[in-house]
Amino acid sequence: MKFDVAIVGAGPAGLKAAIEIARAGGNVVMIDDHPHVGGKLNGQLHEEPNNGDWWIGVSIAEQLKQEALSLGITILTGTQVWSVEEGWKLFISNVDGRPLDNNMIESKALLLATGAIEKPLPLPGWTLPGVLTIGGAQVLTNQYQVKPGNRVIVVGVDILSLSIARAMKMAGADVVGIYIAPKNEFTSGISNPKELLSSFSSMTKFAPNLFMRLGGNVLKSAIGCSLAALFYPKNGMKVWDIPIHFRQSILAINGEQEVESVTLTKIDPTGNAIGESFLEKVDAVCISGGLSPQNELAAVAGCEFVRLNGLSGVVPLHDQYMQTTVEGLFVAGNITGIEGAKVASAQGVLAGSSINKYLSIGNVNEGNLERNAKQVEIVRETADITFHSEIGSARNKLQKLWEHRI
Amino acid sequence: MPKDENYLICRCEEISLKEIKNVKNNGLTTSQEIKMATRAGMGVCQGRICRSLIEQLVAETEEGSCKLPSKLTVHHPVRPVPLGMIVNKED
Amino acid sequence: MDKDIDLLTMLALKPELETKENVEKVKINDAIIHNYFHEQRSTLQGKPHVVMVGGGIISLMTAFYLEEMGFRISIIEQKSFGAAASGRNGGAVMMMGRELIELPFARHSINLWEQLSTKGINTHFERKGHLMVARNDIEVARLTKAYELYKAAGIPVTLLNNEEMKSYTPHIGKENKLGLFSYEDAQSYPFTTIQSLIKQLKTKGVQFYPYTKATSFETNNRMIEGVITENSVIKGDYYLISAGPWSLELGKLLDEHISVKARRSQLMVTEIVKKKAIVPFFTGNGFYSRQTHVGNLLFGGGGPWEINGYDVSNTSYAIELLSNRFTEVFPTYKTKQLIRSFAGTVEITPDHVPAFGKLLNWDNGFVSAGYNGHGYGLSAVMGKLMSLVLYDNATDRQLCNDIKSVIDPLKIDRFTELTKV
Repeated sequence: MKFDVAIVGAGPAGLKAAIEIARAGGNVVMIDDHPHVGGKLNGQLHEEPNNGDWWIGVSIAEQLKQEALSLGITILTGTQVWSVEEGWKLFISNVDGRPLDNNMIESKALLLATGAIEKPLPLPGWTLPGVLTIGGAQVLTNQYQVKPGNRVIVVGVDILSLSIARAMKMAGADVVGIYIAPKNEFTSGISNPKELLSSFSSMTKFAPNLFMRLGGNVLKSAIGCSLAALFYPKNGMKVWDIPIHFRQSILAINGEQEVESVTLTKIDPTGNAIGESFLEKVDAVCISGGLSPQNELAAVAGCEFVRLNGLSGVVPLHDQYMQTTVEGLFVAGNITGIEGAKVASAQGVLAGSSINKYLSIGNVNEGNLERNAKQVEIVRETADITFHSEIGSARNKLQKLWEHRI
Repeated sequence: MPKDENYLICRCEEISLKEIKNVKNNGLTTSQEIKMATRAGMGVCQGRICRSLIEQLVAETEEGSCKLPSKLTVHHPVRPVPLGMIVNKED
Repeated sequence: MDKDIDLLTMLALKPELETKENVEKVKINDAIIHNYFHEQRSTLQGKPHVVMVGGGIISLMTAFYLEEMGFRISIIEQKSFGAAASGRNGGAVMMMGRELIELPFARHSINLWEQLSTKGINTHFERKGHLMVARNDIEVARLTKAYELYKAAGIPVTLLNNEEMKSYTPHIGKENKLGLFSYEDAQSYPFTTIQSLIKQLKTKGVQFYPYTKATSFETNNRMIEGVITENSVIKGDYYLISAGPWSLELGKLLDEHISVKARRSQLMVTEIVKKKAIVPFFTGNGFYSRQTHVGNLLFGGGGPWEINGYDVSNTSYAIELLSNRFTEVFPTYKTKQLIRSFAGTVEITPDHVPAFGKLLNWDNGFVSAGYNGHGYGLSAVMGKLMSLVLYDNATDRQLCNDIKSVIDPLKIDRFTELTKV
């Protein structure tokens, strides 16, 4: 099977890129290992803070899918790419192990839009049945309409955990609370109340209510953060009627064969446990350890990488038009740094037009690319969801590293 | 309060934090050495879950350019594939 | 059907080139090595210091036996110990398949490996035998001749039909016509062995220098006086180059022709298979394989598609070819999932004979390298031999003609006559 462009990942970035290329006349195939296209759009269900509208990811995904099909884009779902080789060759197999008619796809250009994976956050008891990642809870609750449990506790205070805690409550689960991550070797930056509050200062655009938005100004100063950490209510503050705790955390998840309870503790403003621990009976624990770019195919494809905290991990080194250090290999979406669906979509359009220019598909000039790149920046500036406070400076650093390389 | 370090880091091979810390105490300082000594990262997921954890334990998390995303090298296949599905029909 | 070809790639033995003399020499050399090991040697005085460059299994095993003889040891390694071929091989500790000249070494090595556990070294050593299969008439013919030669050389071997093979490899396909089984061959687990050796050697005072690159040597007349690294100069009484393929460059620094060439060899690993799938070490149809103590199926093999050099990336060609060959022999394993491919570097010498013995230009310099992919299995015997050679050097003992006849063919003098690699 030969195509102009192969795209791995049919989430917002991949879909937008495919549409951009197909509209210009290119022959595209999208490959995704899930049963449905849309990537994480399918689980996204939240209120947009700026205007109060609801973002219903699954509808957006469906729209994009219909557009892709009408443009003659080939879509392979339930299919995993287990390797790629320059030239480009993609080695595929069915995720259920069933035979395929073709084990290999050939293309002139390759776009990796494989998104992100969740980082684990280990603590005693984290491997018991009933413990799931926040992303897993999102899929269960929003896509399959199944409550993760009746009495649920959420570990980790961040954009995702807030949004999904709310979704679970709306689904009828008793969400006992959202607790700051426990202090251990794996949680630096997210288990210290003062540091976490400070990192929130630039992210409170997504704050669910006016109080937290006003609080964002307080958090912009170091003293403000210290005070906030010190004076944060010991029993948490309720948002959407769910207690959010910066002065309580979890020590362990308990149970014989499955989750039965958690051991909680009060913590001081730097995250150390104080006083006696206490038990809370729950039947599910949702852990949010953060997201990280899913870059394995980029690694076997041979491109160079950059680790930047602002991008939430290691990403393929790429230029402002989404081209990597390997000829004909492009990236878009969360694989380039965790920024969410809106930025991913804009990057998809940019990558698509960049590939069009590379393969002389349609009539793309430098001006088009500049415009699309500018659009990514605009979306970034106005985004109501930010995953890392240093995303802006990280993007600048990335660009500098690219220029330095040349 | 005694720290319970019996919880798993590598879920596929069931390697606990304690085991990893033990080999660290024996002088091993890199993720690759820990992998060789404990089998952490050698399971079915090939480190997709535990790679970031092992890297944090040996502080291989510095910002900057790198030739590879991790010292725990990624190899084909990046997903498990049945041997029967690898065969190229053109042979 | 395809024309019959001989894919017995792990059968280095070429029956048409072996002579009756070679067969007799196996037993003779076996005894010579045995006697050399058991010569009376008094305690070494003064703890002479051996500095080794190279941190693989050859160095670790040599250090193990040197320590037993009373030497002080330092090992310099540019990366981490066992990072290269030593940790990237099939784990074979075997003799069947080898040319007759290698058999005495290999057999002693298997026995030494077995004894390691009594000396506190964990290796997951298991003497589960070695099964090699022939799938067509050409292979059957060569395998049968090999059987006769090995038998004559005193190696316990037997021929098996397809039904009999099943007790060792329950899922072997019907097209595997004839099996040659060697009872005494064995396998072990590289990672455990390396870690265990390092741990024990550390307690015995061996100095380890990881992430230390040897950039040059300090010399004076015919004596090496130190190994120069980025941070320091490491001085000793004797110097050993045992750095696998890197021995070539190290040799150049000392004006020596250590003719080893690096070449890639790829291996594949499947998910853990809980039941006993492949009991002995298994070879045939252009690959070698075994089931590790944990349960993963490992298979690999070299061939003309491989490249020279230190590249250890994997190719889809090799993954497809080797998976194809493996499932041709074991059709029911088509459902087993491949989880990883990796590669190692074998070090090839022009005549496939190792490079072992004294350096030419230096009175206190030695080399132990060039094991052509058999280094892991041979490491024990070559380590012991080097420890005794160094002992004899340190005590001014003359080597008798018998042992000289066995180890002189391995000297690197021969490389100056051969065309350069």
